[in-house]
Amino acid sequence: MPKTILTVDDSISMRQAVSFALRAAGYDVIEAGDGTEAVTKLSQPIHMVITDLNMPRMDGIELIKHVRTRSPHKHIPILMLTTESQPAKKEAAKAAGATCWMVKPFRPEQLLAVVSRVLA
Amino acid sequence: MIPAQEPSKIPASGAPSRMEACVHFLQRAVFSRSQNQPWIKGINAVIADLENLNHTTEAGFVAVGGNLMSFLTASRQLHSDIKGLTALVSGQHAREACGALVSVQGFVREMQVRSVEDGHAFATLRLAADSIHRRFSTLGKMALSFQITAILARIETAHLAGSEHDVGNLADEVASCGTNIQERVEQVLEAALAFQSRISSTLYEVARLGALQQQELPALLSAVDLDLEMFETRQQNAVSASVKLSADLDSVATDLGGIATSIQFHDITRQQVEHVVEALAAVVKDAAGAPLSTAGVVRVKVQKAQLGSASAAFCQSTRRIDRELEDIAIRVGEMAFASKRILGLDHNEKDSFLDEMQHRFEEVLKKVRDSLALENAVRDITSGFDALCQRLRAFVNQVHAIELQLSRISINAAISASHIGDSGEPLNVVATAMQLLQNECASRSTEAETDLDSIGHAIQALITEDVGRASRAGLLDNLDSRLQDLRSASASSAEAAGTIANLSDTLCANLQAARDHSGIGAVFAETIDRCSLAFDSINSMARPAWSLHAPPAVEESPDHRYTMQAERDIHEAVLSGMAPHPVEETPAAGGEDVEFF
Repeated sequence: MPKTILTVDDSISMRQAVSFALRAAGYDVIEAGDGTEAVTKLSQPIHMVITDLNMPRMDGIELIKHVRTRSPHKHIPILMLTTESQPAKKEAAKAAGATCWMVKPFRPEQLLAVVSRVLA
Repeated sequence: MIPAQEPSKIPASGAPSRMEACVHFLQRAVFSRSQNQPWIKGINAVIADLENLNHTTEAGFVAVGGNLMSFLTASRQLHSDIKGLTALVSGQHAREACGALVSVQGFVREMQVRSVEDGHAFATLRLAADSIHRRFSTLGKMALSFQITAILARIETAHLAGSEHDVGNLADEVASCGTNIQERVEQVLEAALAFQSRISSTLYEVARLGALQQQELPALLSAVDLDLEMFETRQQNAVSASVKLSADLDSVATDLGGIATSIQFHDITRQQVEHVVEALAAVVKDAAGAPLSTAGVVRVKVQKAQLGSASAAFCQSTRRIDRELEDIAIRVGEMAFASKRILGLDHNEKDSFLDEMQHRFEEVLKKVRDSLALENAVRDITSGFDALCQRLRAFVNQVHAIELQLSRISINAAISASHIGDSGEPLNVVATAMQLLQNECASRSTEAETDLDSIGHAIQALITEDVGRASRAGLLDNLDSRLQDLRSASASSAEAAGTIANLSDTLCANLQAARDHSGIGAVFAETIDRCSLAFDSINSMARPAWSLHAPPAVEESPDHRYTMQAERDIHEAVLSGMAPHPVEETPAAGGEDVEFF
């Protein structure tokens, strides 16, 4: 059974790029346009979350907190995939419960290596 | 002074006071007047153009991404179909077909050996049957001539009747023996003739079988050897083609991944354009309806430079994407053609190899079936041999049984002759004749038994060969099944050829569609050029017009990317009124910055 990954980004093309890389590697992908939409998807079986940081309505930090405290997937790995590289933002993500941090743009093989490592 | 800001909404609770109504009226008037400033109109037009540009480019790249996703799905399906087609040629069915052909080789060699052995057996049967007939023909003649002996015995018996040397019913015994022998010999001859007749009809079928085997079987064996060789070569080619295709498709998928990386760059460009829009809106808001100030001109120039940088990078990126897509399209076309040729689909869009193998199998099956039918006919005929042989043996034994009787009568006649003396010489003649006949019977019977033993061994050899009939029937079933498989494979290959052709067209269509959408680089450049002209026009409206150095444009390259963080830093500097600074090129693309917590 392939593993399912929830990818959250307000950019359609970015979600598409992530989905393309993951599906090419055999993962199932669920997409959400922001944190609020992502919360509605959490009732499904999900093995990992890949989220952007800056999104409307609910940003990545808030989403991580929600997943860690109020979802059935409290312990799944969460990758923050963002254009930000400021240490303060990184610390905030870590404090919220992110598993790892990766800066865009990404190479598909890089993303897959990270996903493969955290899902192992 | 009432600021030229958008008029606030009148609160819903209760009617406004006169003061609030006046303020609202004046705000509307001032705002309306400020929006009519030519430079503001120009800025608003640029903002609308840029927002539309972002929307268009986002849609374009989403379409490209969709095309690439469809391409990936189609290429996987193509790979799967070609693997399936390869399996038809080199998988289990193909191995079973080869196994069936190897069985045919064994069958042919077995038949050739059997043909020789059967020939020996039938020759033995014919010779032995002829020998029995010949021997008992001689005995029959002798039995006929024994009539004279019987007459002599009757005369002498009559002569001696009533005397002291009366021999009783000697004449009757002699006559009876003669008749018995004659009858038994006739039975033997009849049985031998029936046997010879059966052998003759069998030999006719055997000759037909022999001719078929001599002509057809060697050719069949050669054809099967050739088929196996072709099949093996074809299987190796198909496996090699499949392996190469897998590698090629993996390579294409990797290159598509590179394009997917390039597409992400649009996210930065999109953000850049949004920042420019935000910065321009801030310029309008801060001017509060007044003419464009010097500071405003600087800010507008910075945005112009940002857009110029974005345009250069964007166009470079889309051109690279287009070149990569073109390269992939060429490779996909070559892959499809090579696969088609190697898998034999270039002949009327159908696998000629599978068709050919199907025809060969049909021929092999027909020849094997004909050969087996003849052989079975021969076997059916020979199945009656044993009964005939037993019957013949029984008659020969009956002849053998009369020997004792002959011997006894001969001895009695000889004894009587010796008692009588010189006048009993005729009885000696009878005794001698009977002795001779007895010797002849014994001799012929013994020889016939030897012949019958040979016949028995030959029949046994023929019956033993018949034991393999079930396995030969199994061979026919196996060949039939393999032929059905080949027919099915041939039909599947035709279907697969159609699917592969459609998928190849789909791949090319997806790539072309992606290339068409990647032409949005030109649209982007046109929009930015238009905005630049607008900025120049706006700049000329300012009092005074300043020429300031804009930040240097950044050229995007695979090794140095204009990251979102750099873009954000510039934007924040501009918004806060700080002087713009040169953008530092950051080494390597993002994605290298990975941290595990």
